[in-house]
Amino acid sequence: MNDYLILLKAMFRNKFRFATGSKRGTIAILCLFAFLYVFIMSFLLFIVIELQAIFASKNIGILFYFFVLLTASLVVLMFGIVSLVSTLYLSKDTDFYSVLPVKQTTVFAAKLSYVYISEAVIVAAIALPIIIAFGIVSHAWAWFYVISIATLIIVPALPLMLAAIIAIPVMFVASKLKNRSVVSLVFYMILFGGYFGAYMYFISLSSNADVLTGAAVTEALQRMQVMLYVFYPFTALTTAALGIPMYGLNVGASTVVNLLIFLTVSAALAIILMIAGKFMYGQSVKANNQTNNSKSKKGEFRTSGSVKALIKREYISSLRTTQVAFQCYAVMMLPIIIAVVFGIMTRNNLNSVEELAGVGLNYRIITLVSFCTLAAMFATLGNAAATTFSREGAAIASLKILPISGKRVLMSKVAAWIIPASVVAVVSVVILNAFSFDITYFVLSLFSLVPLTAEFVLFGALWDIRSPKLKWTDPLQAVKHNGNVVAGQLLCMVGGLLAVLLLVILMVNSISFDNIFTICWCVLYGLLAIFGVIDILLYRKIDTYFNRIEI
Amino acid sequence: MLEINHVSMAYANGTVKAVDDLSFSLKEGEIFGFLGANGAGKTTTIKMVTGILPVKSGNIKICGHDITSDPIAAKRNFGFVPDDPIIFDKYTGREYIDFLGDIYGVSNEDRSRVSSDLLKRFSLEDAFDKRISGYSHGMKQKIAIIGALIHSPSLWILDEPMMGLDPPSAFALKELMKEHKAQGKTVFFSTHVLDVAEKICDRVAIISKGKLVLCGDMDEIKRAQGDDSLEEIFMSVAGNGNE
Repeated sequence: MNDYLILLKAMFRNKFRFATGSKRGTIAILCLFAFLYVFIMSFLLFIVIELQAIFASKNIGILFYFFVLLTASLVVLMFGIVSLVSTLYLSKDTDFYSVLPVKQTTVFAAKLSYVYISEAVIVAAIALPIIIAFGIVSHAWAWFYVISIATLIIVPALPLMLAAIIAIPVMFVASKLKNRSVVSLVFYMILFGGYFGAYMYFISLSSNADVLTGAAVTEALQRMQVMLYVFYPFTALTTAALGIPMYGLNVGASTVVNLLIFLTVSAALAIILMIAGKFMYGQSVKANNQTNNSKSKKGEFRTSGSVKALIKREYISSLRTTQVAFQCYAVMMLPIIIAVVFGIMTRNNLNSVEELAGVGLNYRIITLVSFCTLAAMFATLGNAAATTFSREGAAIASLKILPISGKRVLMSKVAAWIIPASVVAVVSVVILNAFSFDITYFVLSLFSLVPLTAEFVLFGALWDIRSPKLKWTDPLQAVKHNGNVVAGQLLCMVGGLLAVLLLVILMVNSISFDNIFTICWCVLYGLLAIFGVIDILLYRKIDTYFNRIEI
Repeated sequence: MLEINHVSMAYANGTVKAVDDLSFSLKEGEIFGFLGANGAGKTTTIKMVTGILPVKSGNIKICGHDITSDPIAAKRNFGFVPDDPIIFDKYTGREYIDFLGDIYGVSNEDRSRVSSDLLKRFSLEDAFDKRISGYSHGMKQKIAIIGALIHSPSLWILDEPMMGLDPPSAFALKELMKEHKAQGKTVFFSTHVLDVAEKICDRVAIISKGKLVLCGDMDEIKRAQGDDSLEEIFMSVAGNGNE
């Protein structure tokens, strides 16, 4: 037990260990995340308070509580797969733990607990404030709080078990192939897309309701009966927490029965999770002990120019590191998903406006809001470029001795990332326009958002070369604990969201649509100009930045 | 070939001098040993010579090109093998050599010719098409050596090259150094292994606490110091230079 606790403590300490000299930056990032968390949570709590009258209906209460649990579980499912695979299968510390005088089962138990606790914290962070607020506004009984808080630690069992079951075949297929990172990356991207697809499915189930009424939600609830049965353990927990009598029993007995159902199913899932996790860890240890004596296919030399060689190198080094590939490529899916979501929403609103003529809301405002939101979401396209020098780590010395200028290195790296980012930007803009096509919007959005993406990518690389984070032991640290990513994302997101806010303020103040239209595009092109000026200023000092990099 | 003129480098806001007013030069067609205890300033000097660290005081010229003002031309003239071969480990050996070939503009024929000869000498043929991340330290060292020589540089710089090499590969490396010299080119390497330096170097420089304490022809130094071994000479001039 002592060994288990020591290992667990070491794993958490390692997770929160920050690189020397970057404490200020890390604190700034933590403050930013804390601010975003408080901001989003305040918004959600505001909605909970606003909806308190509707919660009087028991059915809506069930629906709400159930979906809070389901949303938290979906987040755990999505990130749990990455966490399980990286901790149990692709972990780089297997060798280190293998030589310690500790049983391998203890190491495995500590690793699984590490993943479980991390995910439980995510569930608590998402669900707890909302559930407590819901309990207060719906005047829940005292047991509601006891049951909710006590069972939150058990909630990750279901999504993590699913995550393990999904991860094992992918892991197995990937281990048989040469380029396993690409397999994992494709899988993550499908998972990412699937997650939002499922979200859209839920939205479509209830989209018939124009106004949120008890009857409408009850109707949606009836249509979502399947979901309640599929995730019955959550339904059982929900009814137990809310003290709803079921099975012809009184409240107390029904609550006990439902809790037993939830706990029994969760215990069974936890056992499956342990078996699956042990299998993954066993495969990792086995793979680590094998010597790579396999015959490799004889290759050929291929000549190309220096810029092409540098671009190729950028793709190879990012694609062949699974977690880095996920951080660089998979997140690029987000603007496309957002474009689809906003496209559908815009189309639905257009339909509603046509049906409800004279509501006073010019539907074209929604299209403008969509473009501004898309501009904010392009922040995800800069991850790769904003870490391109940091990801080099100590290998940057190998770049510095080459007979190529800092400018050429930078431009090769930027070219490598502008290509996929621009493709995503064009696709997103085309999708968003396709749902409500207007040639003026199409031309204006294409020639503002796509160049904005290019400038943003360039900014990321320029900002990173100024002060790359080169001291890391795992390449993922170069991406995850890197303030250089946050700087660009902040500029992009704040710019886009401020534009949205401005639109709303103008609309509320009854400014004519023509004026709002002009102001909106001026803001977007203003953003383009600001990034352009910053890029030019930074670009002029590239060689100085490159030469002063020390390792 | 290589001129180092009054070069200094300080760390920790100038309080720790890693290299202190260092000056010496290398001629064509010689093997030059750069000796010093741990922390004496060898690697810092080599990092400045190769452009990894900026030269903040003094100047360094490679084949007449200043590494600060004309870095591209200077870098075209040398090949470098670092002490810790952190090379692009996501590449296979062949992809790495291909990459360097592209950067230095080496033809396909020359890539094949140079690499096949060196792969054979270092017994690395079987691993050449495998990822470098799976190589041992010695194998990484060998692929770094092949990469440094792929463009047949005039100046070959090696930082502690014998570390991690098995005896046959260490022998092959020493032979390569001699062949490089025989072609009228220059080898500049740092080492702790004084026996190796004594056997193959034409000239040596000994550095202690960042300062040059001895530099000259191997035979002349020995004569001047009473025909002692290089180890004894080293101990007398830099023996207390350890950190």
